[in-house]
Amino acid sequence: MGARSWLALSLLVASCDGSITGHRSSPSTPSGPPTQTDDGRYVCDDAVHPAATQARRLTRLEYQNSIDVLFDGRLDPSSQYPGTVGKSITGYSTEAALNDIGSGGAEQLMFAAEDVALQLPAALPQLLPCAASSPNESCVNTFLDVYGTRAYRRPLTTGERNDLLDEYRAGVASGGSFSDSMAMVVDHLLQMPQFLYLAEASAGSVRALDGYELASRLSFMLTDSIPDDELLAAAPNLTDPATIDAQATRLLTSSRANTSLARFFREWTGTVQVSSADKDPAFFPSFDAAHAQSMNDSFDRFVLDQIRNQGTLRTLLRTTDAFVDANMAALLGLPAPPAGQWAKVTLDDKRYSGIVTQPAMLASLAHSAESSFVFRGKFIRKQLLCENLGMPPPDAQATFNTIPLPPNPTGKDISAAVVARAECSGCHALMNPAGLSMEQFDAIGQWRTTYSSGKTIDPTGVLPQVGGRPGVAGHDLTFTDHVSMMEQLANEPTVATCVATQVFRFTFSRLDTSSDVCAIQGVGDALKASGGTLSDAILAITATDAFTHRSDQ
Amino acid sequence: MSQRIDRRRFLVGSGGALLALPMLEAFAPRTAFAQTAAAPKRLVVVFHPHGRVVGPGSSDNWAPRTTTGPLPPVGTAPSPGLAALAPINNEIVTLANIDNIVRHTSGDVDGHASASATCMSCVVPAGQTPKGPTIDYVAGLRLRSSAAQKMAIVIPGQAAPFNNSVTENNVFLGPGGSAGNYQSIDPTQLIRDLFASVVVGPPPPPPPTPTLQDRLSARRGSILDAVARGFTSLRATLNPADQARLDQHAQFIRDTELRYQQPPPPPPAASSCAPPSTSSVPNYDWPNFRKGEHDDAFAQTQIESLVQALACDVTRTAALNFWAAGDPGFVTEFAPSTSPYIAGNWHASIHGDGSPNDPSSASLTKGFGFYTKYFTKLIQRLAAVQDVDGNRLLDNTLVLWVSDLGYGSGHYCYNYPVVLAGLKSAFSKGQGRHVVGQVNSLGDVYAQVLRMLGGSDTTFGSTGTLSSAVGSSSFNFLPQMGRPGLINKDTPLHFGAIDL
Repeated sequence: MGARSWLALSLLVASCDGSITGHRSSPSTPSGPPTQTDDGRYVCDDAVHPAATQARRLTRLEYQNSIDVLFDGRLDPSSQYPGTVGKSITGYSTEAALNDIGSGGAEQLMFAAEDVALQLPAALPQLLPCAASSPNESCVNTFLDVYGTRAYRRPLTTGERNDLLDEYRAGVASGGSFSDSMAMVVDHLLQMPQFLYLAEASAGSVRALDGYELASRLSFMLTDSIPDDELLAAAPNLTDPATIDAQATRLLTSSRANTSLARFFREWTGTVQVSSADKDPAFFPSFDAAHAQSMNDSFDRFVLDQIRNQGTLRTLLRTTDAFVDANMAALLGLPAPPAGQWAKVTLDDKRYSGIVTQPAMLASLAHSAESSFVFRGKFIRKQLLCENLGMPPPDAQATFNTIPLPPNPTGKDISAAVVARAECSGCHALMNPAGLSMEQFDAIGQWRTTYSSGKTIDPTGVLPQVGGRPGVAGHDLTFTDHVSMMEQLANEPTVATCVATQVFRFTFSRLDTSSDVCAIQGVGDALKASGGTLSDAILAITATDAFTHRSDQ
Repeated sequence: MSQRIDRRRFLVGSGGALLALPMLEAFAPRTAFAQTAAAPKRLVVVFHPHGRVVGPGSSDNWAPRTTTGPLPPVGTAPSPGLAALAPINNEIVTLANIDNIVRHTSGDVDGHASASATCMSCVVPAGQTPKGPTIDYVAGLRLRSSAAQKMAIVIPGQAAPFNNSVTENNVFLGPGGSAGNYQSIDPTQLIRDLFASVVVGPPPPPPPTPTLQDRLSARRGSILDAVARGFTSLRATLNPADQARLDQHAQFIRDTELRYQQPPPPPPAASSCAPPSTSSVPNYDWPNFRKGEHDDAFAQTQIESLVQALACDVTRTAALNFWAAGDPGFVTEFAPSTSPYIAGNWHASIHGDGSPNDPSSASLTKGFGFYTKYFTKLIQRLAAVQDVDGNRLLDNTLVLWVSDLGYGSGHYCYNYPVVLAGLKSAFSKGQGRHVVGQVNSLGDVYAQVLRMLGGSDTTFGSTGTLSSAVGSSSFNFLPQMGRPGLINKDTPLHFGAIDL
């Protein structure tokens, strides 16, 4: 079901009780944060609910992808492009503050631009055919028509074009060849803020985005890159809902979306690019770089399969599908596929349940030698239930070091000791049970039933106060193991709302506020709808006022 | 499109935190620049006899204008008498109201000998016997690199019989009026004398063609400036919070821009010292050369030897001496066989001494054109040769063109035709000018020349007044030979600085 179809269905259903959600064709004064009904739904009245966004620099991944698209894959991006600095609040690497330039960053950007520019002369015959036949200013303008528009994600203004032409002229005046002078133009182009920054003009309280702005949002959200030529050509029509839906669908289903989709799931779940260097070889002597790479590829194949093959929230959390090569098959105790090949397999449903049991995620949420019920439990509460646990006290580790533990403590022994401390129980009582349910997976996601001490792992537990919100008490989930816990969580409305929230945070690179509830509700409705897929949910955000409009607050 | 997942490796620590990049480049520009040598100053004195060959009066066609001001643009004759200087108008300064005051201490009624004896030294002569040293000698002592270096060489600018010494107008003098450092009249011998000990290394390599990285590096400051302007343009459309984010980045741009100011130009090549070859000298066994038939080829050969003597640091002071005062034919300045000075006499013509000596200003001006033509060629050649500091040899060489008389017709000693060129840094008001002071003496000119070469001289030669110079106030200073109304016992030998 396309995004527009479910939205239309939502409108049809919602109109029965007078509440409607979704897109409005023209901006009107927002009525403030929507009210909430007794059943928890927000009333999104007949007003536009834009989202506030922040100007931000392209991430390193976006820069790399953009160079690839900008120059048809003929120039390599520079490794000197500055990456992110600091710790993300949302978990997503596109947060504005993470990509702020430091004191040396301006110089690094300059060197990065030069690195790319130095490659241009060799590639110029393919990038600019007129360079051979008529190397003159008319040919330079042809270059700017194509590559300048791509870089700035819109046609150049006269002033911007003249600035770049002046760069070419300076090159010629200094005795440079046509190709060298064009390299100087590229050097200039790649340092301009119009290329480096995603920045939208001020809106005041609300402004509808124009087609080029929508093209940028679509492209960076779905492909971590500048718009391709087809999207740029469609830009003038993107204010039409049908056009934006068609382009969003095209991008989502293309291979160019693979890295951004994988990035969403990784950053949402905290699944890093696992490295064998992060694991203790004394405990895992066979876990080398090749096995780590296989683990990472396995995770990416899993999440892309969920997106591309009608995966739903339920399948994401409950499927026993996995992708194995020879290395992953060995880790999972399965027959290996032919060398160099991957196979989609079905895992034991008593042990495996969706994304949380993917080895890469389990390995990421673990220590170098041991599992971490705290990391895994924190994921469940913060990233799957969207609960705000606050920050640990600054002396948390020091406090933990003073807690007496029994010899060869099990996970539950440690947890009980921590929860017994008043200053620790507030968060750990909520987190630990979920993580303890997954103790049967070691630090690299291998199945086990006992600790290295020989003590049996007890995966049973109670996840307290699930689904609570102001004025509404949560309920406890009692489970026998992680599988039963995930089965219950898959049915929780709160989880669907949280995943929708994650899509919002991923799209807008910030935490949500009370002004964003309508957009989140729209995505959540897509997830919860009968037949609603993960791709429906991702496309649903592009149909919201939040995506097509902006505000400054 | 190729899959590049394996190439895109974040620096990721455990727990998912992305690590900041280290500073990968030093702040120094990527292109290094070589050191350059300092160039010495030089002086070239050009001499011709008889001063302004027409005038005084309405026929005087030397001065470009009557007041201080700019010369015409390059390519336009500054005056009929100086027409051949048109290509170098921008390199020269012409002076008016320059008088030879000290000549009036000689008592020489005819005036030519005393003028010749004093025009370059400004020292009270013993009758008509010069006392020296002349300006080239004094400057040569100061400018030479060592006592062993040749100095104040005098190179003939016109041909003479092979076995004839150049005795006409020997105006260049050493201490006490001793003979100046006259070089051989034989241009082949001149080359041997000047360049026998010069060892020339391989020609300097051409400056390397800038690489693309060189070009990009050279544009850093300019591009950063454009980037800063881009930030200004973009931020204007944004809300305050977004503006603050961009402003922070823009500040780092400006800080970085300061470190990448416009880089210095590429290092210059070494001086192009290229001693002339003796094989380049035309056959010197020439008949009938006294009329100047071969003066074109001869003058060019001599000028080249002079210029290369400076370029190769054989000497730092030299004179180009157009010594033929008596009967040069200037045949090269007229259509073949039409020079009036073949049958006639140049000197006599200047004085207007009857037929067949053509006194017409047109012919005299044409003949004078020989000097202006080769003065121009000298300046152009100095400009074409690169000095050790990468500048033109002309930029480090002061050229002074002077004569023995103001007006040759009557041996008058006022309104000397003086032209300066080269060493443009020493001209605070620039070149391409005609300067008309109240009155200055040749001593003022030479003192100023020495200051332009780095000295602190305020006078040159004898000082005081005419009466103090001769020790008598009743001496006949022959005022009729000088500027009307100027010459008396109290006339100073120096009047002060010239407005250069």
